Amino acid sequence: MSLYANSQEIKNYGYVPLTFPRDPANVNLFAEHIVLGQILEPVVDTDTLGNVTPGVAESWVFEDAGLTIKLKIRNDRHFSNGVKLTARDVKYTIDRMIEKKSQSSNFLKSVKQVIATETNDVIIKLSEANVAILKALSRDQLGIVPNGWVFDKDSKEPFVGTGPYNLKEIDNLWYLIENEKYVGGKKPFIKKWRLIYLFDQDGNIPKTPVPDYAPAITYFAKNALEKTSGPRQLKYLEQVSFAQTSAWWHPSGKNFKSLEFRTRAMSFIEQALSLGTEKLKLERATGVIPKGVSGYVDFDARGVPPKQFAVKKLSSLKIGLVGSIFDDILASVEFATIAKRYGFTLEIIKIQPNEIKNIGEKKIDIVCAGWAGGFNDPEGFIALLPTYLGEEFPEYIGERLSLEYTKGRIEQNWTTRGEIFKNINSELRKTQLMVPGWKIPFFISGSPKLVSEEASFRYTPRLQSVKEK
Amino acid sequence: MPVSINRYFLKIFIPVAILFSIVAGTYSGWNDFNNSIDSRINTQNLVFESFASSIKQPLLQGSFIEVKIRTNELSKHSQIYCIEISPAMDILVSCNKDLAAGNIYIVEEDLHFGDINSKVLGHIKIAFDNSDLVTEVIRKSAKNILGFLALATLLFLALSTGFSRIKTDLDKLVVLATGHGKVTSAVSHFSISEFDSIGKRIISQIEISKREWEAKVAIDMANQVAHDIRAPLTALGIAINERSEHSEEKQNLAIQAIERISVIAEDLLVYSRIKSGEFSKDNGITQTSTTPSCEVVSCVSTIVNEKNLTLKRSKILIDGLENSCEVLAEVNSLQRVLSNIIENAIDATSKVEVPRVQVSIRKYALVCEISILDNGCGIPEEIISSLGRKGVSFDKPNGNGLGLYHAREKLREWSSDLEISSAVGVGTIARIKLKLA
Repeated sequence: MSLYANSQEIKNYGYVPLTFPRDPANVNLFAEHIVLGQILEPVVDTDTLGNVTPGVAESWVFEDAGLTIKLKIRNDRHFSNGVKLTARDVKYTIDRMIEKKSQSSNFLKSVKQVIATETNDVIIKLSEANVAILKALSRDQLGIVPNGWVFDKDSKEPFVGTGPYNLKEIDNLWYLIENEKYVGGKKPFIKKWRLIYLFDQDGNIPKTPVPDYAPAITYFAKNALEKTSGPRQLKYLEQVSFAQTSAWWHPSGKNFKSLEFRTRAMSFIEQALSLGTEKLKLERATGVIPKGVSGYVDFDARGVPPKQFAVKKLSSLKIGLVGSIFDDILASVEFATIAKRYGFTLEIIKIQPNEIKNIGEKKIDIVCAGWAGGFNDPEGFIALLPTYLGEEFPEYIGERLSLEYTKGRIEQNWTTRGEIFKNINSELRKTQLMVPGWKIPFFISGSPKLVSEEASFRYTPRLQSVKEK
Repeated sequence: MPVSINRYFLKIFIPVAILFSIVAGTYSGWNDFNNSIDSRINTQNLVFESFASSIKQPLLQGSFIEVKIRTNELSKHSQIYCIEISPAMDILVSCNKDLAAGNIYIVEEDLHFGDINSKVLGHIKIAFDNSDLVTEVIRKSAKNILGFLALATLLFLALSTGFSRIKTDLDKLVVLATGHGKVTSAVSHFSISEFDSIGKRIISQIEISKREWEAKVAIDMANQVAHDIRAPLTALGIAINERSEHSEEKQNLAIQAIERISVIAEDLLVYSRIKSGEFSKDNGITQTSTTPSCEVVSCVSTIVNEKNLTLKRSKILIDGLENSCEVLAEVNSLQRVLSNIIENAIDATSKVEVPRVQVSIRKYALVCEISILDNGCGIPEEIISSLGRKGVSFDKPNGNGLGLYHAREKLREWSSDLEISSAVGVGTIARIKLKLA
């Protein structure tokens, strides 16, 4: 007899960004990726340890010294509309994501060509033997959609996938409902979830209803939830998180090439973030690659004290803050006062997630953002940067480091690869192109009656694992 | 057949110790080997699982160099014979060694893309070299055998020391018990208490036996003297009573009787000297170093004459007085022997109507034979063989069996012999064969 009740009751799932649903090609928020991961299945998947496992491809082989991957597509997958999934669907999805310059396209730059064969194989030709390519293909955003599918924002069932759930609109509310065609794993225990949206673009949570299950909520959201949940007691578990914030010297800024300006500005950011994280008792990050991922390096602060700068007059410093994640830091630290010591007057610009693509237009000197990375690999964190920088990473880091970066992308010796990315990580700090912020803790909040796979190294959780005691 | 304790010790202990050492040492080594091989295989299975798990992701992600690096690292271990990894159809890492070699433990498994029901990613095979365990078991067995032998040697030395003391004490006991060897004060001192108790008991028993023997010899001597003294006393009595007739003859008879009584008395004196002196080998029986000699005819004549004086009905006849022979015998003892045997003949004819006793002397090449013939009742065949044993007499209500016993004993001393032939109702001949001097 199962310990778990076979629940037909609708559960509340939170929190979903206001931007959702939208074309997967446009998705750039971690919370959106989580929902996509319940609806679509990528060509390969990852397990709870972050290891690559078969997805809609049941097997694959590497040929031509890693320049060709031949994936065998399963014969047992059907979309929620009953159509059988084939190699053509895989080709269509990958091509689409590259063409539409999705967030994932940053990770697929080495994909030269995708071929669907008559034998239901997908052949991916690479321009380089990219070691992280399979991890990149495991992203939820790259979940397979039918050949020729387009996103219809007015549709009540906008997505067609092979995942455990379908997304359906019922009475102006969005639900994740069990996909009866799903064969990729365990059948969902909770058959129906109502999506609970964030209150606003800043990620504030609504007062009601309280989600029965909310993975990957931030520290601030957790605090807010604790206040709003009232007498209802929720359990909170800290989950594995690779998310962190950081500040980057932005190529669109007019003083981008000035070393003195950069040193002064980034030193200011270093001190401000240092004070802020200390005040808010947040764990400081140390580099672009977070702790727990190959290439991580423990690095001390590199800021230069203000008195070392002979500032004659104040300069304007434009800082772009993506999302609301920096709000509390701003509130806790006298940013303007510290900036003045470094000879700056601050101009803070809030950038909404949907404005990230046009970030270059803002002409900011420094962009501050938080991201969870693309996948559990150094490439998962570095390759995402162009989104915020508006510039290809090799261009951004200069010729010397870009050679290192190229080497790291194809290095099959994992120890050597780790050392390469450590070096890149260190150099970014030393040159003050980036100043790390803090490690963003994620929590799973939920009803004490619900049991899930908890904190794992898989990037996004799986709602089908959630059971009710 | 009893074996001396030393030989027993050497013959049994050493072979047993060697055999035990070899068997125990080998068994111990073999046992260790079996335990070691089980433990080794369990560990190697774990190593295999761990390695297979570690190369799965590099294989899945196409990082074949990483696979080779990890394989090379593992291959450096001395227990790894070779590794073979084949993803899909190709062999990524190959093993070119002979897998049929001895003491090689092979573990192999398919790797899967996902769980065990998913497609096969590749095949991994690791051959472990366990030959060092064989070398180890040989080394350990040898070490154990040497260890056991050393232990046995120590035990042997300890036991030898103990046995040496036991042996010394046992030797002393043997000397005490058998009387072979010189009995000194050192012999009666033992280093082991149990043996000391036994030794003291033996000494005590010897003392008792010695006293008993002395008493017995005294009694025997007294009996013999009492027996022998009767004849000369009878002769002396006759000589004293009939002194008016044939006085010279009777005077001689008295003198001879007195001489004989003197000899018997002398025997008693000799016996008393024996008692105060040391033991002989024959439990106190005196042995003379040389046997004297005497003339048979005079000896026989003296006794016959003495006997005839006591006889009333018929006289003892002598035959062969011309056969003078010098024999190896002491005259007085010979006379006592003759006296006893002739007396027996006289007693045998006491109931015969016409009694006849004849003494004959014959001389041969090596012996001189004195035969005493009588026409008495004769002795049954079954009695003849026991005659001469102490205490055995025939047809003599008051016989004490000492006469013939003494005669045989004496004759044996002189390497001479006594034969008795008899026929019931006819008579008896006793032949004394004395060695010529």
